[in-house]
Amino acid sequence: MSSVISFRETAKVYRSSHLGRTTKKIGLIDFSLDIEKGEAFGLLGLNGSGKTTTFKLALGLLTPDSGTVNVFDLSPKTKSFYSRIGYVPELPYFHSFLTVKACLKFYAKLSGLSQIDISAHLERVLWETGLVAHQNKKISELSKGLSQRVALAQATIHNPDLLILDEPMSGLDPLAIRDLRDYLSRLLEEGKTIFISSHSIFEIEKLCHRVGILKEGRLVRVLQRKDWEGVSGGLENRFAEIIQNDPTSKALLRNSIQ
Amino acid sequence: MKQVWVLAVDCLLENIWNRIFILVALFGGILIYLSLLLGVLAVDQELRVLMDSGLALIELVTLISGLYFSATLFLKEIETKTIYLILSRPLNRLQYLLGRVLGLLLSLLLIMLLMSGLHLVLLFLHHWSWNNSYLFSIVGIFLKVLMATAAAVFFSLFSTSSIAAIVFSGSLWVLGNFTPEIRFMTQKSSGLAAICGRAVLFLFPHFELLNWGARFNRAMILSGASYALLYSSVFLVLSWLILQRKEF
Repeated sequence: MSSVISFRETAKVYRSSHLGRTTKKIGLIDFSLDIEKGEAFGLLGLNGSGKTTTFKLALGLLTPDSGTVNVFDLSPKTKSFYSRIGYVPELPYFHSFLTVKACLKFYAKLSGLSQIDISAHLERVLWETGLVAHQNKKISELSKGLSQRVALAQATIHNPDLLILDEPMSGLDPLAIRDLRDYLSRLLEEGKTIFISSHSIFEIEKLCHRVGILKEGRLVRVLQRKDWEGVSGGLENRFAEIIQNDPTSKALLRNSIQ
Repeated sequence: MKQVWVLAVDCLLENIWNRIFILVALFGGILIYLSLLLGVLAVDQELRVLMDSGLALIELVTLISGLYFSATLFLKEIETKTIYLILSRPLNRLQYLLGRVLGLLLSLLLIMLLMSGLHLVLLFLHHWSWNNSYLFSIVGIFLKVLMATAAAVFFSLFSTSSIAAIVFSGSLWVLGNFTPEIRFMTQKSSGLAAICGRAVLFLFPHFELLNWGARFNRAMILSGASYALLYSSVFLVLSWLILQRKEF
């Protein structure tokens, strides 16, 4: 299989200056990973472990301090690069005064689709995300679950090959989560690649072929489906084991609970 | 170009929807009405006072709106994460910048049109007859606001606070209105004061080139407009360079 995303010894350090004093915070360190075509890869980690940094590096919104990031072997920030990627950030915002249809049309036009393609893709994506009945509603009238569907719809309107989803299940009710998972499974069947992060381990467990566990910007382990399937406690136990057995994790876990 | 226009229309719609935009238009209307009252107080010069105070208020309100919109534009898009959804599309950062700035200018143009429409109604009610100098005064105001707005966009891209961007660009506007005085003081001074004066004259906008008034001619308009466009372009190019390197 060919690699869709490839990180090689990638590092990112955030620097902030205040009154002449510079503070550094590690975003990602010595990060190497390959994600294959048609694969669903999940990122798990505690808050601040580097999940969003990883996504932003893949999207070219951040530049690595060292190492490389390759997506489709294209250089980031080019049009051909972005036409193959769909992105859902955590808790995205859409103009509340727009209708669902107008909002999706806006992102379709920004994706460079022609007027004919916009109509066809809009119809497809409204149907696939279950938004047909809500297309004329204003964004301000939507529930959180429906807003999240709009987020997914805008990411898939241009039919990208790779989806990068940052906490797409955040704040959704169980039925909305199930619908989202079903939709993502259908996209996988179509051969799309999914790179996803979530605090909902159960959903990651059901959807992903492989899972990477991040801690303080380091990729401490990559698990295959066979590593958690049929194992008592499943992925949740494996995640807890790995985080707790890591020497520096105990203090981190204590801090996060406090 | 299509994507630039899409971004511009989106920015315009958001500003129209924004209550601040409506408040600003109302504020402008009330201020122009106040200028009418002022006109009543100025015996024999009623029309002139109404004209001058109205134009000054149009400039002030448009400037305040321009500084506010441009200083908050990018910071708001970063805060709401809208910028991620846009920059992860097949468009480059120059298109993004141009789209947003064009939307901003369309919003300001709309504010100006509304206010000058109201102002013209008041003038016509006072038996004023149309003069092209009015149109050129409005164009001059728009070009001044364009320069201040371009500066505010630039400042907003490297400052983390919208207030700082408003203060920097507001100072630029204030000093830009005093360049004839600064030039006079520079000519009269020597040493460090003269060097500082020359630096200010070089960096700050010369708004007097756009105060065309009733004595306008083609050469004045062409040179003033070219100067304003060049000055704004420099700030936009600098903004683009910053945006190219900026991480989100």
